[in-house]
Amino acid sequence: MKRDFKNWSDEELIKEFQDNDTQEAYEALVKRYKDPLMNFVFRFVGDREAAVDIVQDTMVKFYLKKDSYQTIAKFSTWLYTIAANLAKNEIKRRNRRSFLSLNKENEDGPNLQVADTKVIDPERSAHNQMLEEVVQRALLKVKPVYREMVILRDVEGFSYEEIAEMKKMSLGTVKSRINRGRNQLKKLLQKYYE
Amino acid sequence: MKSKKSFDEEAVSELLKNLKKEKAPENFEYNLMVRIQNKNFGSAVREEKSSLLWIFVPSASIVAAAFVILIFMFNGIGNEMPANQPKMIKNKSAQTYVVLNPSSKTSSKKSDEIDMVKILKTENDVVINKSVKIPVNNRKSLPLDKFLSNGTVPANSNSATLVSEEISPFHFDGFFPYMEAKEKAQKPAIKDSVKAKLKSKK
Repeated sequence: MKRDFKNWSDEELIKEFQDNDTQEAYEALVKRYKDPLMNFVFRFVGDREAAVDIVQDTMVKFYLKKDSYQTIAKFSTWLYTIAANLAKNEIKRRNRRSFLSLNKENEDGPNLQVADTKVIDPERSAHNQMLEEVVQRALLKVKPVYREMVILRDVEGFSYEEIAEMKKMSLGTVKSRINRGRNQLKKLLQKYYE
Repeated sequence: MKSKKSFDEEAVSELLKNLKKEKAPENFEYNLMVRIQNKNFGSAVREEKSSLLWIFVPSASIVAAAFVILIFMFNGIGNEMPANQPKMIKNKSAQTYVVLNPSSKTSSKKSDEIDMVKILKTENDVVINKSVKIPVNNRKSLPLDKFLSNGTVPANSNSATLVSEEISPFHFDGFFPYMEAKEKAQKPAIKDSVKAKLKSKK
């Protein structure tokens, strides 16, 4: 008899997957987190294709290293930590590549690959799309240490406590980094508001 | 002013919250499951390896650079480096010469002694001159090496210098076996026929 995992909590599902190697429990967690992780990684890296690969790798790592998760932590923070580490590695790799490459990237940063959503959402105005691109471009100019915190807080909606647990930092450090990130972003976006 | 600042921060925060939510592609789960079933964990596993290898890249390049610098240093100042200087071989560089004393007067010289100078050139190129009286005359020869070294000629030495009637010494270079010089050089025998002729002349 097939069980319905929809109403199970994350922690119940991961326990089921750990104890009985239940593939359906794993699939339910993948279904639950693929989109939030995709959004987080895309905002962090700024490249859709790279974001898809990173989220895939995150899910593979989760599958292979399911036993490294301990029930004392929240499942979502554990999964986001894996994704954030992979995303940071990708950024470092890109920085190395751009440093070694003779064809330097545009000073405005890497080219943005925003999905063409006109077909999906025809009511969305061109102005909004442009504004979104501007914000994303500015976000990519913020230092990665601050950027990650700002995305986790303002885009993904994690609490300060959850971010502190995820990053293994004090609450004060998390708050100050988020503030610095927002300040950097504010300076970058100032001219669009004036 | 304070309210303006908080408004700005709130605005930024609000702007980020209202960003469009990116979604994973539709075939995301299918691709993931195919990957897991085929055990194609490539990039996820490779990630760890590559990140670890990167740690060693700077250290390896530093070691290589240090090696190259050392090579250039040794080539550039090779002669000033003590390690590159030829090693002094003891006793080889120390040399002894015996020459006639240029200041001696042949007229005042005793008949049974040759006035010579022993020149000792040490390892550090310090030259020591020492006057030597060699007790040799036309009836006497002596082993010069033994005499100059005060009887401490090495046992395995297969060469020697002999002096006798002639002032200039001659040298055995090891081709001939070492022989002790005779204590007294024999006076050449005069043939009886020559003696008879001399008597008859008288």
